[in-house]
Amino acid sequence: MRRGKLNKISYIAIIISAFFTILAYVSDQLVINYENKMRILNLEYQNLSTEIKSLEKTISTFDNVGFKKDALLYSEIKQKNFFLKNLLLLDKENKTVYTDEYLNMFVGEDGDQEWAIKNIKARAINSVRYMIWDIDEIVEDYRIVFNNPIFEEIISFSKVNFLKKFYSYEKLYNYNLDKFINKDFKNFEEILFTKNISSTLELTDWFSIRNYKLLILENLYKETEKLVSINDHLSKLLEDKETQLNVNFIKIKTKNKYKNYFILTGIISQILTLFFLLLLFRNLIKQKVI
Amino acid sequence: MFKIIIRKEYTMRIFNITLLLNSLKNNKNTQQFLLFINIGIFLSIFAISSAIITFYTETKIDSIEFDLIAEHNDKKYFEDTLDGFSKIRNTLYSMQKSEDDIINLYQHSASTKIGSKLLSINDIYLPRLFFDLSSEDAKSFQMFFGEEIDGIDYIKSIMDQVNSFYNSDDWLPKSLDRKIKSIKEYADIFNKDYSKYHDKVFSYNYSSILNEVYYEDDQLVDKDNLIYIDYIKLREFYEEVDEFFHLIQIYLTDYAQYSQSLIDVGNTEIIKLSKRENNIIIIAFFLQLIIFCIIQYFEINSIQGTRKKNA
Repeated sequence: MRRGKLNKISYIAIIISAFFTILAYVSDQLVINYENKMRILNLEYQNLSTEIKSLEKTISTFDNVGFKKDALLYSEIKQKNFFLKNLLLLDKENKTVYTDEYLNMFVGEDGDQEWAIKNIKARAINSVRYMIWDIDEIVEDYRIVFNNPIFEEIISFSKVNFLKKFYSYEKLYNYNLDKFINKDFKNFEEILFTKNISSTLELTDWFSIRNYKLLILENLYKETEKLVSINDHLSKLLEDKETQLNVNFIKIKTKNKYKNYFILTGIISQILTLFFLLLLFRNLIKQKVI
Repeated sequence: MFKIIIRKEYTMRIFNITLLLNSLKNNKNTQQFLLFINIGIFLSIFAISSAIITFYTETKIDSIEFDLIAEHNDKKYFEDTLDGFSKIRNTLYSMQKSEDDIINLYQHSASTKIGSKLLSINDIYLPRLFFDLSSEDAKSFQMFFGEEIDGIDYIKSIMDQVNSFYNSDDWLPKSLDRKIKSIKEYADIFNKDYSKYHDKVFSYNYSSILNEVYYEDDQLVDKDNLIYIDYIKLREFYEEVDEFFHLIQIYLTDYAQYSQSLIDVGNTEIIKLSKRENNIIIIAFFLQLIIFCIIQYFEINSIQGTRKKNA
């Protein structure tokens, strides 16, 4: 072989090292590309993960308010007739066979039956007032939960319409006037919230108060029954998001696997480039081309 | 100015390469350069083999790591579900307890003549039956009786999971199966239409209250009254459901523990593979060093032989 001429092995070594140089470059570019894709996917994964956590908290709070509402409903509905029946039994004008016996039960040391009856009446009217405040509290809890923008996305639900049903009961009262002896809501409300009025009320007033309590409870029951579909909607949404999270996780896993492959391919290619260059030099020296 | 600097740099580089080529032309240095190149080839072969070993091991570790992440997610899911069941059972318990306490008090009061006038079965038991059996929520109980919800038979799905997790002769799948069968016996109360009692629960009729006070003489505990019978059945159903949830909690706890054991195995495997990777690289280095030394020995010998011939 003449000095200055490259042999076949040298050409092959140059071509292979050139090939691995290109491969290393392509691998590096692919790593950058996959890294960018993974950054976006990771961002989506984190966002979705946060959304799921937030949704879980919302569902949990929503359920807790529901439990609170159920506890109130179960407890109040059981007592719906209790005070009225007491007052009917203690009615001196329309005595039953048990009236005297019952009245005698209330005789204290000083023989004062009236104090006990007043106490029943005070508790009867207070139970309605407290119940209304309790419902206000539950509605406020719902209002806080509904502040989450997720409820805006539910087409079949309007939080404004829902909350409107509990702002004032005047409409509800006037719509159900047949259930009340007192047909004037303003007057009724004044009676209900006037201090120390209970002892002066007639049986007909007590009947209206009892029905008013029942009407509010029925309103609460009917309106909150509509929320069951929202709960289903939120659960479905959570399920969808969790499925999407799993899909993203698998995507990240696959991308990460490929990224690692490209990193290692890049490294091996660079080493192989160097290796074949060294082989080339070795061959050049041995063939005394230089 | 910039051009001058670049030109200077190029001049220096060409000068260096020329120096290198000149030194290569010198036969005395050839052997030395060959040695350096051979060391370079040896190091590059070592680097390639290390990279391949790392490539193989990292692929394995990567796969285990993702399995671990998936297992961590599964464990978290099972623990969250466990927490959910625990909350449901606690809520169920506190509601039942408070209802039992009130009903005991009512029953005590109703056992007197006047008490029986103040309280009726419709006041005490009917509302619970109405709310629990006619509400939209009640539809979810149908899953216990083989009905699919959103196209999923949840009970069958749970049973399949439990059966695949435990051996067939383990106590939990058997107990769970028995519990599901006993729950199914309460299907008839859920088939009754309690929504028809709406007007009775929300009754605004004054005369019906007067009737209860003045004329009716119902007992609060009446074993022939259908509402009372259904109420007791509903209570028993809740107790069965509570025990069912308890069994599910045991399964979830066992699964979470199993999941943790898989995580531990995965962690141990990663540590083992990392250690093995280091050891293989060290062994490969020494093996290649030995081979390099042998090749180098023969190459030096062959060059020295050629020189002697030339001389």
